[in-house]
Amino acid sequence: MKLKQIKKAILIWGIVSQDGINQLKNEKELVVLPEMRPYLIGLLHNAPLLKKEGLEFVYCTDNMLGYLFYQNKIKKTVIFYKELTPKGIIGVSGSLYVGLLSHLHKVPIKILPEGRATSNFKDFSAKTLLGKSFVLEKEYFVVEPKEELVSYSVLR
Amino acid sequence: MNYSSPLFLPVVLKEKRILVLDETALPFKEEYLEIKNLAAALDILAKMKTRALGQVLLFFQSAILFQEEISPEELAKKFKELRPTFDFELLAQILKKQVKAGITLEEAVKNFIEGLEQKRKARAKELAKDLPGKANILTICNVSGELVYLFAELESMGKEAIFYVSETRPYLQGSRLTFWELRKNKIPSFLICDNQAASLMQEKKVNCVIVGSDRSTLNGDIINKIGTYSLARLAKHFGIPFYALTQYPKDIDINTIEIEERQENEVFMFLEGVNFSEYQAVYPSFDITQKEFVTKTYEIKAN
Repeated sequence: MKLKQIKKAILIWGIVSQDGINQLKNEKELVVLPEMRPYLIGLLHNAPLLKKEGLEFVYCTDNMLGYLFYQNKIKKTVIFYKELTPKGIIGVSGSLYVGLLSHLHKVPIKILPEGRATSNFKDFSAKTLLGKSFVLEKEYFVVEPKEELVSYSVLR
Repeated sequence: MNYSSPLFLPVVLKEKRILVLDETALPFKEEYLEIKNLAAALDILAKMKTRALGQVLLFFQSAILFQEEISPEELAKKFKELRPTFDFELLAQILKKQVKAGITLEEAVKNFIEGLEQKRKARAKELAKDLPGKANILTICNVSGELVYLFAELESMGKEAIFYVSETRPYLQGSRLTFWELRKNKIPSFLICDNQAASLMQEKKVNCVIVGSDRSTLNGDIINKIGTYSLARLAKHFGIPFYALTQYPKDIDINTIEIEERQENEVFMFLEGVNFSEYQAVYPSFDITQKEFVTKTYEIKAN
């Protein structure tokens, strides 16, 4: 797919739920589906589910999202959260990246509880991609991904 | 300590062959591909076996080796068909100007490469002066060894540095090239997934962002690897300086430059064993960062 074919799509982040799928079906819009490193939630969990449910989506890497916002390709962001807190939502790694980029580009954010992960994820940091390492050293440092708080001031 | 990287000079002309460090094989193999004809050069370019500084050198060495069959201007057109974002016409103009002044192609290329190396080192030095005593640097993609130059300069100034390298999906230039060359030189570095940048900034783990650029304008806009713009927007939000290494900025509207879109299947690079054949994907290879999000550029200007 070329960029010019994407008009006003819905971006999703997190483990999509059945309720989320139903809402996306009602919207009838193209879904932008980032791969969601390190776990590859987008590829391993969300993509098969969206395909099974007949939703049209376009896959991308996480780092493409800024440019999609810049090009006004995203009309709405849906973040699937793990937990609601008095300060905001707790979501999977990258939730703050997506939440902030949406906020900075004035794209509205909807939050929904996440679904249940049914896939076996092999990757838990930048150390591996589908279980394979791209670093020669046996011992090296990564920043371990963790759940991220996205405050209500960003979500508004 | 002697710092080095094979990415300082990834493409060389040796007798009647061009030797190209195959960046797609790194870090597992440091292997040089041999080019003896134009078709092979174009194939290597199309497959991104070399990129950034490597494609500049490939252009210049091809201009020498194939000068009997193609002019630099025509070569630039062929290179541009394959990598439309980069300014190969400018490289052809540099050669044309030199040849017009009575210098051979070979001498012109030699002078350019030597001059460029000096300018890159000078640029790294200029940047190093502006960085704090403890620089915690977030970076993306790969700037062909220049971060190694930068670390050497910082060390000579008595400054410390740690690099946080964004892996840079789908090609993993961050993991495979930048993190590799930093670790080869035992330079302190951490690897992150691209989407961790925001939390890193929020936790104040980084105090500057440093990126390269493939194109730049006189008023300070840049085009660089996809993911750069996200870092710039986030850096601005968190009040973190965002520095760009640029070369040959032009008086041009950045939005008129074509952003290369690669084949869909390349988005799934390195994801062996997964059946993605029915998934559609989008792959803009670069993005645009406007000057309002760039704290400072460190320029190499054309002579």
